[in-house]
Amino acid sequence: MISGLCKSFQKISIQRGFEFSNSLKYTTTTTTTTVQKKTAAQLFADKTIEVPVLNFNDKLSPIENIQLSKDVFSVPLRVDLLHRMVRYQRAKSQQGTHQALNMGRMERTNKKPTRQKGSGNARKGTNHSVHFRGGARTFAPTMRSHAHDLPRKVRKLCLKVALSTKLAQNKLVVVDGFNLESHKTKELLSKLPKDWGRTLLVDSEISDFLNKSSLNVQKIDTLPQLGLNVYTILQNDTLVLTKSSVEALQARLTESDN
Amino acid sequence: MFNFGNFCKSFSKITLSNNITGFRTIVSRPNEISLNNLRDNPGAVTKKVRVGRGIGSGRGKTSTRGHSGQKARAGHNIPRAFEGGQTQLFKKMRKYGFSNARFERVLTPINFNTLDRLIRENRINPNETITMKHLFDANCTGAIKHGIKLLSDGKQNFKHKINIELSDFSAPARETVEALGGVAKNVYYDRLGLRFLLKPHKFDFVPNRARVPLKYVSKYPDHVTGYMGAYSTKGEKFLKVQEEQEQEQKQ
Repeated sequence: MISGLCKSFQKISIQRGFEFSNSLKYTTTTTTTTVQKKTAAQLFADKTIEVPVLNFNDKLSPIENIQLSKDVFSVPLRVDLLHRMVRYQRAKSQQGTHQALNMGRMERTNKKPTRQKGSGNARKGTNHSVHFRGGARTFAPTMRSHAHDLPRKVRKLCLKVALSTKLAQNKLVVVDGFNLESHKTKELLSKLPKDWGRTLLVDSEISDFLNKSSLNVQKIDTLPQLGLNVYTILQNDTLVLTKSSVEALQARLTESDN
Repeated sequence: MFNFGNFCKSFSKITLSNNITGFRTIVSRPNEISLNNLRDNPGAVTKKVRVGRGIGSGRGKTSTRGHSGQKARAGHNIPRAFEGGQTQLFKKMRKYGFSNARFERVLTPINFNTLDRLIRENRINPNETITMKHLFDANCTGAIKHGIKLLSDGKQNFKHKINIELSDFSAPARETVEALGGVAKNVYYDRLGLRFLLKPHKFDFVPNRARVPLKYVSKYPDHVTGYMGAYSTKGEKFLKVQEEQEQEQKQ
């Protein structure tokens, strides 16, 4: 029983400071740290992560560094939040156009098929009982929406977890912009390295050239920054954001909810 | 036999974070997260109870309903307070207490987002004094029970200079209006006066303006207050001021 209980909690995180020894007893470690005053630059560095911005048109060479907010791109990687958000999105997009007949919806004669007594067979009231062949369904599927609620702040936090996951997996790329000279697919494909795999390109607004050049490629998805969602982020291997969309995302996700 | 060393080994691989204080939240390593590896926290959801599935389930045969009796029947929606027909306990006792919650003065909120949209759509003229009548006619709120309060959502994008008279303003909203050179004025209406303001066609007389209750005096300067409206909210005699104004007009 104990081993089964402990096994199920193998991935549970515990407060820092608890240490397990060979016995079931545990000890607590207390650490005292001297707090030093930090400069404004140090405070800013504590709250941000530095990520290079790549030149999309020059073989993805680094141009500069951009500071990403830790409140958006470095939150704890909570799988339960991703799970809830993906279920929310998939349930919302479920069509729900299923239907079968139950006893109420089935329009057939209610005539008694055989007489009650004397036949030697089981009693029958109608020909479409639920246990008959060709009969009604007891709990028939109904035409309905499968959408359910998820609090707005939870949804926002889920998006932060997804972005943090991509950054932690080294699958988040920031580029200066998707500047394409034509709508040719070959031009876009020549700029994307193969080891990016399935790629999600995010810009503030999807330009016409980007839309047309990526439309026929199965491995490339494009999204405007406002439409960025958890399911699409997890579906794709690499997430490519432009610098402007990163700034808009940070502003949007760090804005307080009133 | 449980090997505690294994537990320590797997425990040391867990990614610890200073932000995490819960004990039942899964925090994974980055390479473990993918679409086919998502799961909720242990204990987050409970399985639905399925009755009538055999002796071993503990909910077979009678499906936890026992034998016979009213509660074993289909559709047994017996109210909790039902006592077999005798007068229920909550009806036998008298009513207690009083609550002022139902008389609370709840102001309807609007934001700068709404104002900006109405001005952009030319449904409100920013050059004339905006009153609750204009907002009501523009249909930007639902029913207005006690008045309208301007809040500050969307104040960054609001660039218009406006003179506006509402029941109240939040502190940042007032600062925003005044920073743009406008005037944010508090006006007091009781229910009757507010209804006359919003729907004057329903009246065949003009009701007198109500005096400001003493608890709202600080919010509404230059309004009548006191017994029969004899004073202004600034403490001066209101009628006297009126008489002096009339004399000046005569001269």
